[in-house]
Amino acid sequence: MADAGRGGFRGGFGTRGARGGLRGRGRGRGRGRGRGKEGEKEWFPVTKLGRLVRDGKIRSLEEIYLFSLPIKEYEIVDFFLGSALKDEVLKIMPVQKQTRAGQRTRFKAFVAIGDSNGHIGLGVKCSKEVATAIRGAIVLAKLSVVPVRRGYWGNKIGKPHTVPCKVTGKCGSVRVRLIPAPRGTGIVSAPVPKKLLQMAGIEDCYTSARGSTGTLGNFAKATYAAIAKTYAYLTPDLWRTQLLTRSPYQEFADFLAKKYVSTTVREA
Amino acid sequence: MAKSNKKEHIFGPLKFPDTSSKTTLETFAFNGDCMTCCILCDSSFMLPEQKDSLLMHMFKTHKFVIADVDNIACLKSYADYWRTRFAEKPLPYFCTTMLCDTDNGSGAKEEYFLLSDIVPEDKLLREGLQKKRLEWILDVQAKERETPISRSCIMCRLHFEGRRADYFTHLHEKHNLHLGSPENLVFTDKLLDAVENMMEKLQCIFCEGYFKERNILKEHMRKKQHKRINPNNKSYDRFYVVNYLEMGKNWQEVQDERDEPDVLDDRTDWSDWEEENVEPKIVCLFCDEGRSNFEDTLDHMSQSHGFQYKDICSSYNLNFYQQIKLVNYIRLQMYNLKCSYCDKAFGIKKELLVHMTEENHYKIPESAVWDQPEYYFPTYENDSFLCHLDDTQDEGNNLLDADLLPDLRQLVIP
Repeated sequence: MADAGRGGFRGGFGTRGARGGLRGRGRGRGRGRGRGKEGEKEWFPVTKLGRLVRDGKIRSLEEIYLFSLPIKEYEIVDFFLGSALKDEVLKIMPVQKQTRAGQRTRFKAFVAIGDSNGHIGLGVKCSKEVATAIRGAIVLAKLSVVPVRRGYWGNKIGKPHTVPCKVTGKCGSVRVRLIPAPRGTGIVSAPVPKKLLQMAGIEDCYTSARGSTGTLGNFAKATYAAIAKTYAYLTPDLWRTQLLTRSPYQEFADFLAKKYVSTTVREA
Repeated sequence: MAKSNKKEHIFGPLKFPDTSSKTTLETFAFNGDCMTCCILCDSSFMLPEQKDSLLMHMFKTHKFVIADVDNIACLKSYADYWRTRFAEKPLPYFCTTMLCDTDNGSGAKEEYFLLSDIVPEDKLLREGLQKKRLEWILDVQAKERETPISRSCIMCRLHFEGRRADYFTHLHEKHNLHLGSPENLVFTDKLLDAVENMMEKLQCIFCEGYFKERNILKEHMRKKQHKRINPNNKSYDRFYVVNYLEMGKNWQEVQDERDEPDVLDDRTDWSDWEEENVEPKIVCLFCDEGRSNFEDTLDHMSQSHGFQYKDICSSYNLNFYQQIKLVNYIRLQMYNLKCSYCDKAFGIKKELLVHMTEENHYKIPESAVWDQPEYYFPTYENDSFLCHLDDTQDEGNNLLDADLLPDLRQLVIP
């Protein structure tokens, strides 16, 4: 079956992988390679927000955050942040589950994603191949991206470099506290939160951790929660009243009412 | 800064030594050759070369057989464990006994002992070793992910320096050579060596046929789409992580297994990632004693040096930033071998500690000495002491620091 269209198959490993004809060594191998080679796959949004983003009605990710709209498609985050987002695999570990057929071992991947300039996300995914787990975790991490507010320690000169105020995040028994630090201090913390803070774009910060910090999963999540709180805290410089604007769903209601028509016809 | 401080200029960051070590007996056994003794006597064999000799010896001399011996992750640990157990209880307690005809045709039966995972202890042992090996493999893979690769491309001789993932992407995109997603591979250097060797011998990596010249080989691989590894060649199995997943299951069986639907709370739980001793030990402010617990470090300091850290903080009413400065000050003084209280300098650490014990100088000087802005910056890069400082005294102020209050007042009061 695979040999029949030899000429047609030459270019695209992706199509070959999709047909399932030729097997390489392990499925993940073929899949992973195929996607990269094909280049950009056409994105057909399935949510209202996705449609607005796809057609350029929303100018930045911050507009979505302003109205606390839930993001259900990772392509939305990719659209705005794209290549600036760097992912980092924090840990791959085996997990076991008892089934009727005996023990089932799977790989669990913990991934953090950030652009080192104000956005951070965390994701975890389980799968029987490492590459699939990592890819799934990256998607979940993109969906969990939150904005990071940075501020100053003392004088407001130059760009913001530290957390705007002391914030605490908690997960399980771990409490992580982020404290503003003067410019040039760097990040004073354990290795795991340090990575997250660097990926969030915070240059200087003191940390104080309590609880069972050996549970690195909870430690990472607590740090993420603390970083997310930077925009949740109402500091005095935000006390000025601001006019209420319409949410994108209201503003573009006419556009959304129209039926979504794709520009090209493609086979399913 | 006065001239006397010349020798105190520190060039480059200070770091505490990395105390986290994860080598166990098994990591040596997984990694390379090791000597192991027969389970039932003292004759020693070098694994893995003499593995067959060991098994043959046990079969012939002791009439002892291990079931599914190829599935055992670490034969050395397995042998060590059972050696101690067999010393405690006789063989038939654990092994199934089989009666077989003797070779000399006399019709008499001999007893043979089979050790298999019917015994729950054995099953647990095998599963434990399998898990340890998988974790070790993932560790190796994590280290490989971080170390950069420096070698020339197999196909085009272009010298490549950088991340391993980029090397494989280059092979895939430029040369259509599919070795697998780099995230699924381990021992990548050896894999690339193996592939390169095949190419040097002018052998196709897929069909393993020989060709006369490099160009002919390349043309063959391109036309027949043989730019992949032979899936049936088991010698490549050890490079793919999926083969270490479960005992006895190779990648084909794992691939055919149905993917269960994701159970949300089970699969996306972060709390099962636990590790011990990953963070650097918290080092005492004065000597080199390290502890993994902050409370233990404080106890050590009060017992060995009479330095009650918490009492000092509460008596001087130190807020978080002042604690930071104090710790960094003491660290710098200790590094420069100067007493933290009277600033007297010494040649070696021992003399300094003796001085401080005798003069009872495990105290802090007045705040003007250490409450300086230069001590905001950590003296040691990976100083875990700073990550455990308590700032609950500031809870009442509710996050607005005294230094910042005047600025904020200006904002609020029109």
